Amino acid sequence: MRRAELPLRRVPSSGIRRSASHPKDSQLTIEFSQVNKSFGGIEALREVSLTVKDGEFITLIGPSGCGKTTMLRIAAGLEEPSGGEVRVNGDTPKNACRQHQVGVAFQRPALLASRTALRNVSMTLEITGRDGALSPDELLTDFGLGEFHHHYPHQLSGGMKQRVNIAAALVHDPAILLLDEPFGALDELTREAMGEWLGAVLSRSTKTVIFVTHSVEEATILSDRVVVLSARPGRIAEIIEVGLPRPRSRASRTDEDFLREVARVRTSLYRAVELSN
Amino acid sequence: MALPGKAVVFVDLANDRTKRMSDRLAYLIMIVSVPILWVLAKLITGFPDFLLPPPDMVADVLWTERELLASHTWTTIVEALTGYAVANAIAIALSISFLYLPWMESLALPWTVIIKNVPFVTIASILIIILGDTPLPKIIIVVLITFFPILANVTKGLKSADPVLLDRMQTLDSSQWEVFTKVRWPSALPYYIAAHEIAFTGSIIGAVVAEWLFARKGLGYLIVQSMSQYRADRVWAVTIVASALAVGAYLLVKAIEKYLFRWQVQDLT
Repeated sequence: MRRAELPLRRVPSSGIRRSASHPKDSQLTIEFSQVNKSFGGIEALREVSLTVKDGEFITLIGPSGCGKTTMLRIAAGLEEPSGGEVRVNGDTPKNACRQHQVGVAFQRPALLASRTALRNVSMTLEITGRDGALSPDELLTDFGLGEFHHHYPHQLSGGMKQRVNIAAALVHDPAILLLDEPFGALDELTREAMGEWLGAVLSRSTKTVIFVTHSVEEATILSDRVVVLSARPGRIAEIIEVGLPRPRSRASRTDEDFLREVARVRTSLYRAVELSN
Repeated sequence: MALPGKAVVFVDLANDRTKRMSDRLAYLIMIVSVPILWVLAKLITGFPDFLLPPPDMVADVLWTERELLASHTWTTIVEALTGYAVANAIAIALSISFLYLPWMESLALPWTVIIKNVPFVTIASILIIILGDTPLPKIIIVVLITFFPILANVTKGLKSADPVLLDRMQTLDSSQWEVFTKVRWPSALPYYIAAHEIAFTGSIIGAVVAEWLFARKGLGYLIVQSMSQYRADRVWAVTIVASALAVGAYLLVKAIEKYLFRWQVQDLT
């Protein structure tokens, strides 16, 4: 399982860092205020208010149908709220996309079957232009895919495909990263390794991340705050600050503190599930 | 190979080397079997040469009348290719309009149903009455026959673009043109090639049949003329030429397909 270890070995100077195109003085925030969303009479979100701070890693967790994906899609400008609004740095999500500030990755990798890993990543730059961008070459190598630049998606494992997918979401160096269950389709061990890998990748950057997952452990090890949602309609049940020092690694998964935090999140999740029924 | 949950008409390329070998062997066996079966049929039925000419007699016609056959073949090829080019242009233009203007699809649907289902032999007769002995009715017949598979496949292919990819493109603020060239068209390409497999061969059959109804040139005409002269040997020769043409068209499409999608069979190194 070379793919589990490689990415953590080196941190190149060209790594993922906030580049000059995102000046530090502007404090980036994503603000949900009183967001409602219904799909044909079905209420998906009710009065969701949340402020995501600059550089924060936020996880949305909750029973299925709680609207966590909808929240993410609204933040990405892919859905319009039925009521309330979402502001990214005081602007609409669509404008944030226009300024190439947003990177998204979904559970199913958004890769073109007829492009190699490298060309799938550079497709992002073909669209956004190369200003302030990272090198697709170096990024893939950094992600432990050095030997797989010229492989097609069908020749890669699920974990590798997802890393190419996240590289494609990161390569234009957006300030915001929106991840919708990126590891949901992977087996348990790969998933753990990928979670650890993502944590390491993001620890070297100051990106603001909204992450959707079903896994309590994944949420706990990666997040600054875990937002627990309840379903029907989707609303915020509780927000939990994860009190674990960084950097966190796989070793922390057996830590007592970690297990205590996991228990906190899980308890809250159970309460949210009860609230949903 | 294909995306999950999609009825993709992805290319059926034999990955396995031994399978490829046995496929080639099967072709070889067929090519060798045809003259053998032919001679056997003649022996069993005892038909005289003017009803069922032997292979060597047909081969002789193919050689001695090669100039006549070539000139008529050329006419058929020109009609088939012209019609096919027109069919492609119209079908692709319509498919693209369906993608961006849904009302166009509703408007066009009854017409495509008519074009697909009205017996084209009757339409051919009508066209020949109106347009007479010109290349035009033949070209129109070819268009009518080949147009629909291309339209149906390209329309479906353009709509088969992965929604996840379209979402990604949207968050990157890509233009419609970029979405089309980078996502929509590459997604439609396998469908488009699959349409050629059916339609390109169909263009030659369409041209021959149209000539067969009424013409003064082309392989279809040559069949009618040879029949009226009881030249079974020449009918057989034309059959072989027309078949070779249609099979050649099919193999050409297959070769292009194999080239375009060669990345699908690339092994992990």
